[in-house]
This record gives sequence, structure tokens and C-alpha cells, in this order.
Amino acid sequence: MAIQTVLIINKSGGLVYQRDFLASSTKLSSNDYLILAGTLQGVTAIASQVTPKALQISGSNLSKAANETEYSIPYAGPLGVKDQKEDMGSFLPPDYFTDSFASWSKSGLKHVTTDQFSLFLYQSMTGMKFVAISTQSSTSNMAVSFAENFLRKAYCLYADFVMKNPFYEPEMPIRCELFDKKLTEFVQHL
Amino acid sequence: MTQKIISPSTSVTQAASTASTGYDYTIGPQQTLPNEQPPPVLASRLYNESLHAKARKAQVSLSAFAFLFQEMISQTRKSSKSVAEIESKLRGLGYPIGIRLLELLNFRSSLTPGSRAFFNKASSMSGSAQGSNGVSTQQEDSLASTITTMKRRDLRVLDILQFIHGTVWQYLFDHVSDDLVKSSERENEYMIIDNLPLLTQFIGNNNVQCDSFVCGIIEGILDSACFPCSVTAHCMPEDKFDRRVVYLIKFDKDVLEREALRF
Amino acid sequence: MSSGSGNVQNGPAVSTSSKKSLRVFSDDIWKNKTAKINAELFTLTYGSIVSQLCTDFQRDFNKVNDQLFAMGYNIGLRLIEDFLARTALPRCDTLVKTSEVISKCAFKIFLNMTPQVSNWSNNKDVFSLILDENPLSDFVELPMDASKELWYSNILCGVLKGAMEMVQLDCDVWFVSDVLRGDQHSEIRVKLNRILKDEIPAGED
Repeated sequence: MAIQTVLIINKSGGLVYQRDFLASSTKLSSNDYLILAGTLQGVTAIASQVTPKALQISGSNLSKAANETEYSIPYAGPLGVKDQKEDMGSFLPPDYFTDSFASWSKSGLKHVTTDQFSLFLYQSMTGMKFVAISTQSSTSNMAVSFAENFLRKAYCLYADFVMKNPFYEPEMPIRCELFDKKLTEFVQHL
Repeated sequence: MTQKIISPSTSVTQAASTASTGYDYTIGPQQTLPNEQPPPVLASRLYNESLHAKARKAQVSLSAFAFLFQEMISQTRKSSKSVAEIESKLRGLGYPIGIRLLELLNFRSSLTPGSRAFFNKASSMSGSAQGSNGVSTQQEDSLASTITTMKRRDLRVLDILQFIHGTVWQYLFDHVSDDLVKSSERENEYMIIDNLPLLTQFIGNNNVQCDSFVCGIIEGILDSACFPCSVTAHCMPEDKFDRRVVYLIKFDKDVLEREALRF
Repeated sequence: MSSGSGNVQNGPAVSTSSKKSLRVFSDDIWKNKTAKINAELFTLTYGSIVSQLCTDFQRDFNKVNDQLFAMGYNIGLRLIEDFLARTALPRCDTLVKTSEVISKCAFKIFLNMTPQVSNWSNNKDVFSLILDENPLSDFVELPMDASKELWYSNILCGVLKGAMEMVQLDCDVWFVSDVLRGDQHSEIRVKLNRILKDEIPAGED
């Protein structure tokens, strides 16, 4: 699975970051990307509304343990991390995290597939959305957990190289040279 | 600011008087109203404990520091009109740290095994003595009184630069600086090189040189050690170190004249 | 705001007590996953900032307090993303859980300290954080003229305010006492005004 594009969408649905990683990737116009971001934001909201009531109720009645296993994403190994001694910013090697973790988005949109590609979406508790477009049309459990691991790591890079940069204004488009560099390195080492 | 070696006989009274006048470096000496009560702070405990490196060896997360540093720069940007003004303000924020470090690190390196024992005693006491006013008892067994020889002040340019390159860098950034070089072109110029600057690692290259903060620290140390100079930071990538920073130290002329006379 | 299991996903092993696992989880993050820096550099840098503000505002300490709070607020808006990326903790379903996450996890992994949570109001919407130690104010002694007005570590209140607002909790946060002023404890009060339900990201319920 190769990552073709990464998008970051802020909590109000505005596209703040877009980067292609494959030379072969189909280029959308920036306007199309803005539409894509807005659409994803809208569909996420609607997806949670169309969740059948019966499921919502049974979901909330599940015991805690069941809930945890249901939403827990397994740790997918040190993907994207080159070697054990790599400089990892404010995180320590060997990896950004090493435990399974829960997804914050329980009823929202998580992936979109066509026969040619798939799109994955990871949403933080603050409403930031990290989107990856991959060249494989797989939404197997493996692919989903791989993508969520990848996107949480992208979120870690965002926390370091965007949030800790005094020249970045929150909610605005991300123009941080180091973030570009780190994310590219990371994608290339997947 | 002149160099003061903390001598054992005076440091205690200095500490006490600082507590009672509320001396503030930023405004200089002030009058104190006679009827005001001094705040019940255990001044000498504070001094004794802070001065012992091994006692604390405390750490915070790099993230916590990076967010504070980030906000410090943001605020400085907001209140400045030019890049030069931002850099000079950052320098100003580093400068007082340098002044303190010169005293603190020299004092710490003067501590002897005996004074460590003193500290252990004091720290085991301090837990129970908290809240009670221990100034009178603490004056008798001040940490300073256990120091037999104070580390000598650095008098030569190379010595003080070694101190910054080694001791200070190790203390601040947990590694000695990567190189200390004398300029081949100008007599009064030296360079301290850091391949992986710790504080600005999340910021990247920018038209504002955020390492000016570190320049301020270096200037503070050198100035208060009587080596007046100006320090500037320059981004000079080399090989795989794309964030490599060179701190260029230009000493004032009289520093070199003095050096020529003495040695 | 619901269905967050309120507890930590600590690997496949079933955790026995939620209290213990949050502590173990946070200790592990602090020890093994968080890069660290000399706390004294942090202390000295903060000191330099506060002292510069005192000069800039001509020793009007109320203004200094406000400015420190505002700086903290800006930090909180950003710091929360680091916290969430690092921990991936689920949403807390009660303020009691939130208070535990703040004290045992957030303070631990950023400042390596664990304030005590206490003084709950009857309807559990106000609590206190008692700071036994505080790396911001090590070395610090307030000058006379500041000792009644300046809340030296006020930046912490701003950070809490900003960070909680980003996870849709509208709170008031303020200092009620500080050892630097001669008080017995340093105490931060946190009051939850309301949950910003409309702003909770879609898909979480």
C-alpha cells in the first residue's frame, strides 16, 4: 500500500494541508481539494446521524470491556521509522507509540473505497482530520489499522513540527518546511 | 556587571538581605518600607537546595519547553516591528539566564564531597522543617560554609570559551557543543558550533534567527565574566546536519588587549 | 459526550483498576516515549519571561497575570494536540475522570509532577489541583512589591483553560493560593461551566 496523498482538515472543515507523495498521482486542482475536504467534513457529520438508532443504543449498553476491544486499533509495528536511533523530535525511539489505541471517531466516516484506491480518515478529539489516500483498494482490517497507525503518527509529527512552530497560526494553512520534510521522509520509509 | 565570586563568608548574609529587600535585577536597588513584613520564604533553604546539581537533576518534557519557547517567540513577534527587534528581544530574554548560569555552574563545580553530605542532611531535614522558619538555624550550616576552595574565575579567553563549549552546553543541551573554532581571519572572533540545536529543532530555518535566545545566554555569561562581546547565530548546514548553527563570538578590542598584556 | 470507555487502552492485557492503569500508562509515556530537557533551563526561561513582563508592564502585576494567562491559553490550544497524539486517550465521561487525566497524565508527561485532586464541590463541577512541586517556580522568590498581586505561575491556568476548551470543555481556571506568596499550598481551582456540545466533532457519539 503506497500513500499517494495526505490531507489535513481543520475542525471547521477547511483544508489546511495537502501534499502528494507519488510522481504518478493524479493531480486535482486546489479547488477540487477544497471541495473534497468540505465533502468529507459533511459526510462525516451525516454518517454519524444515519447510524441506526438500534446500534447506537446497543453500542452504549455494551460493557466497557467489549467496547474497548471493539474500537481498539492494534499497534502495527514501527512503520515509517527508519532505525532505532533516529531523531524523533519530542518522542523517544523506538517509536511514537507502541500500544494499541482507541479511535475517537466511533460513528463517523472512516474510509472510502473504489476499485482503484482507498481513502482513510483519522479524526482527533479536537476535530482535526487527517486523511490518507492510498493506491490500494483495500479496507481489510489490516489495511484500516495500518492506515490509522500511519495517520496517528502523522498527527504526532503535526504536534511537533506544526504546533511547536511559532510562525504557524492555528487554523491556517500549514506552511512548515520541517513538517513537509519529516512527513515525506516518513511516507518514504513506510 | 562585574564578576563576583561567592565567598563563603558573605554568601549567607547576601542571601538574607536579598530576601528582605526583594531585590529585583530588572529595576535595581529599591527602598523598602521599614514596617513591611518580609515574606515567610525560607530563603537559605531555597539557596542551598538550588545550588546543588545532584540534588535535583530534574527534567521536564522537551514538549513543555518547546511550547513555552514557541509562545515566547510568538509574543515577541507580536510586540516587535522588525526582525532585528525580535532578535534583540530574544537575546534580552537569554541574557539574564547567562548571568545566572555563570554563578550557578561555577558554584556547583566547587562543591566538595563534604558539601554533598551537607546537602543530604539538609534535604532530609527540609521535609519536616517545612513551614517553620528555619533561617536562624540554617545560617549556621550554610552550604557555602562547606566549600573549601572556590573554583577560580576563568581569566583567559580560551578558558571561558571551553567552559561554554563544555560545561554550559552539557548543562543546557545535554551534549557538549560540536566544535569550538578560532577564526582564521580575525583575531577577536571565535565560533561555537552546534550540529543539532535543541531549542529550535521544531522551527526550521526562518528569516528570524530564533537561536538569538542562545546568543543572549552566551553574551550574559561572557559579559558577566568580564569578556564583553557580541554573539550572533548563523545557520550553516553541512553534510547531513541541515540545521547546523554557528555562534559567532566577537570579543571587544580591550579583551584582546588585556589578554596580550597578561599572558 | 458518551461512550468513551474512560479508561486507557493499555495493550491487550485486561487492566484491574482504572486508577492504577492510568498511572502506569502515564509513567510509561514519561519514561520511555517522551524526550526530556533540563528542568532548570525551563525554570530559568520562564523566569526570564516573567521578569521581562514585569518590566514591560511597569510592575502592574495584574496586567502581568493577564498576560501570563493569555500566553498559557495560546499554549493550551496547541499543547492539547501533542497530548492527544501522544496518549490517544478516549474522551472522559465525567469531570472526575478529566481531573484524573489532568493530574496523573497531563502534568506527569509534560512536567513530571502529579498534583493532588481535591476540594470537590458538591455537584462535582469544581475541583482543585494542589501542586506540591512546581518546576516553573523552583529558584523563585517574589520581590516584595509582587508578593501580594503576582500569580507567578498563572501561565498554567491559561494552559488548562486553552487545552480543555479544545476538547469542548468550557472552564474557568484560577490560582487561589501559592507558596511563593507564603501560603501553605499552591492551589489551582478548575470550574466546569458547560460542555460545548455543539462543537464536539461529529462521529464521536
